[in-house]
Amino acid sequence: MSFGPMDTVRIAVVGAGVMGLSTAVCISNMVPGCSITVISDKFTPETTSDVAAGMLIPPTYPDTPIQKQKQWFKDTFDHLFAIVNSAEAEDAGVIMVSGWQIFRSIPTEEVPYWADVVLGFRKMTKDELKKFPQHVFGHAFTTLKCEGPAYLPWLQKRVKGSRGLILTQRIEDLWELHPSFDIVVNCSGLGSRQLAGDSKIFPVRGQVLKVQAPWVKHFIRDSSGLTYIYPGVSNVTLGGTRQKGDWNLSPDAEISKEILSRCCALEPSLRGAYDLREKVGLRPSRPGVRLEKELLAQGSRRLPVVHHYGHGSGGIAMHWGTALEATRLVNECVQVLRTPAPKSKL
Amino acid sequence: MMRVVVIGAGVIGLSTALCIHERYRSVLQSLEVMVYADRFTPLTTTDVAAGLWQPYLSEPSNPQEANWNQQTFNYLLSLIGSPNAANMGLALVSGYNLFREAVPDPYWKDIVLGFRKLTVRELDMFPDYSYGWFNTSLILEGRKYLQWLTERLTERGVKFFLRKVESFQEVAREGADVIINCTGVWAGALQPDPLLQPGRGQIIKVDAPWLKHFIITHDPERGIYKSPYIIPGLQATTLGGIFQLGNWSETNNIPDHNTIWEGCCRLEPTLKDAKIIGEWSGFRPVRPQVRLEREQLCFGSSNTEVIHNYGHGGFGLTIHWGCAQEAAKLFGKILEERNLLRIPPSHL
Repeated sequence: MSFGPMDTVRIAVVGAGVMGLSTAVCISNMVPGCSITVISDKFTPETTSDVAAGMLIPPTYPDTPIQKQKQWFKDTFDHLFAIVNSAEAEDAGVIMVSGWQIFRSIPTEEVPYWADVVLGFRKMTKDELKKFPQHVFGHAFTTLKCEGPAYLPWLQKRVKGSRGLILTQRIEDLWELHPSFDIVVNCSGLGSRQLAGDSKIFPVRGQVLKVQAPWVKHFIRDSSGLTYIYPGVSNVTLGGTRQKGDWNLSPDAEISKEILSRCCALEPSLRGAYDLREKVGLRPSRPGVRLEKELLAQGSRRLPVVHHYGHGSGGIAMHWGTALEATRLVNECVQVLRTPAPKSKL
Repeated sequence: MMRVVVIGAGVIGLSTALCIHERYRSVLQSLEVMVYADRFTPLTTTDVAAGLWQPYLSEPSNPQEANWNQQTFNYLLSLIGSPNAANMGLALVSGYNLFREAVPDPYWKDIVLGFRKLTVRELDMFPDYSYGWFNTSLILEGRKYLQWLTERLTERGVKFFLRKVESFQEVAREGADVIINCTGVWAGALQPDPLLQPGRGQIIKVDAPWLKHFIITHDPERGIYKSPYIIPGLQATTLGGIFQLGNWSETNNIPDHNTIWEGCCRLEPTLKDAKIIGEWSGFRPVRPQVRLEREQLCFGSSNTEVIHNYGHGGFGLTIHWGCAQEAAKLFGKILEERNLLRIPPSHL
């Protein structure tokens, strides 16, 4: 297969959560001469990204160098910070919110790697800690919240604006995309267990309550990551759970009661919360994000794939940074396609 | 029978009534407290206020006012952890004070929580400003709080009367032993006070639930409250920036609306998507110092005690509880002087 320099490279992005859509936008911005089609069986508001609270408080991936994670987080923060300071903020579902991350015991690492990426990071004062009698240490900072139900449609608009196509279809096998597409970007999250035969990816079930409590203006996060209160544009997310290997998408009423109780312990005014809605999302968890190229081969058929999935609880927090990196990998694939191959190899 | 009449049903009147009833009901043989006002919530000046706890930047000429501000903050902060906080109109809120040049820290910097200067990246969000503060403070929404105070007072048997009081004498003649004068900007109608003036404000309330921080700008050349401010409340967000000394016009006007709208949209461009809920004007009861003192008035053969508690400018909610406590103290002195205390209150 030879590509002239003017030939359009046809790219399929599998998955329409935050990874698929943001990668599609990055590719359309940065890689010339491509056509992009986003293919997914689920779209907003039915993706995992729609359930996520979208707080920019990043996790730590054990298998990834800290510098790299910091770069991903910084790229994402900078991208969303530019949006939040523009008139588009409300359309894109990005807001600024201040609050506290609280610890029951003094952490070994008092200042996390991302402290200078968020705004105004400092340790909590004694007076601030009085609000949380069970906790002895805390961080105070201002960060961003990026809400799937607004952000994903905003990204979709940008994909269509760059003449990208959006297709509803369930892909059972990546080879289905051959030969209609030249490069596949795999952003299928947990779907990669099947689509990429990746046994390293597993769900970490998260149940949350989205409630009305508009008087809550600050986020509160217990450092364990199990209990959190995240005020958003039109509701407050109360969480949560981290149930490894649990694929169950139905909410559990007992768990909801328990989440509410843990959150009320941190913020008693939540007893007045109303209009409680239960949601469940399965975090696509992996020891590290899979960001790499793979050349699928079957007989004489070749299909370049860029994998971009496995962000666990850090999807929204890292999405733009990893999308930029995935785009660089896509660009490399495009360069290879456009480089005339020696005839003997064909 | 001790008959107390509180004139005025804004935050000062109702909180003073509550403070007095809480402290002295149990130590008096009988205590009757009545509230007379020609305006009740939602028509009081308190209802127009955004409700952010924040004193003026410069130290007050009466140092007691600084103490009253602090007492109020600490009192409200102690209620933050209660499940009732939102019903009272009370919530924690953080935000920005913005300046065009470096200024000294305010005297209240250790009263609020987490006070610090703004970082460069934070200031980048506000291109018209080059210096500022970040801190966590409290919102006490006037309307909700007055409703809550009214409930607490009603539970205690305090009675409310819609009437326009024309003179202290009229109230004294009806048998009031002590009159608490919380008439705010209209105090001059009961007793001329050349130091008291209206500081007219106009505000726009919008629905902008994505805004979680207050943003208050300062322009020292123009003066306090004459520069745009955005204050999120428990449900709606207040936009303001008007302060007109001596203006008694209670109607909203278009030039002020435009000043507020343009100033606030410049500060926060997303406001263009905000739905306007309503617009109101009110008169801050401006005075060089709060008038919080006793006065004995002679009507015929009897003496009537008056406790004045008015002139709280643009910081009524900020200072109210400290003043209510002080007024209660003055009331206690009256009781002592008249040998009315059954049990000497230990904490006076």
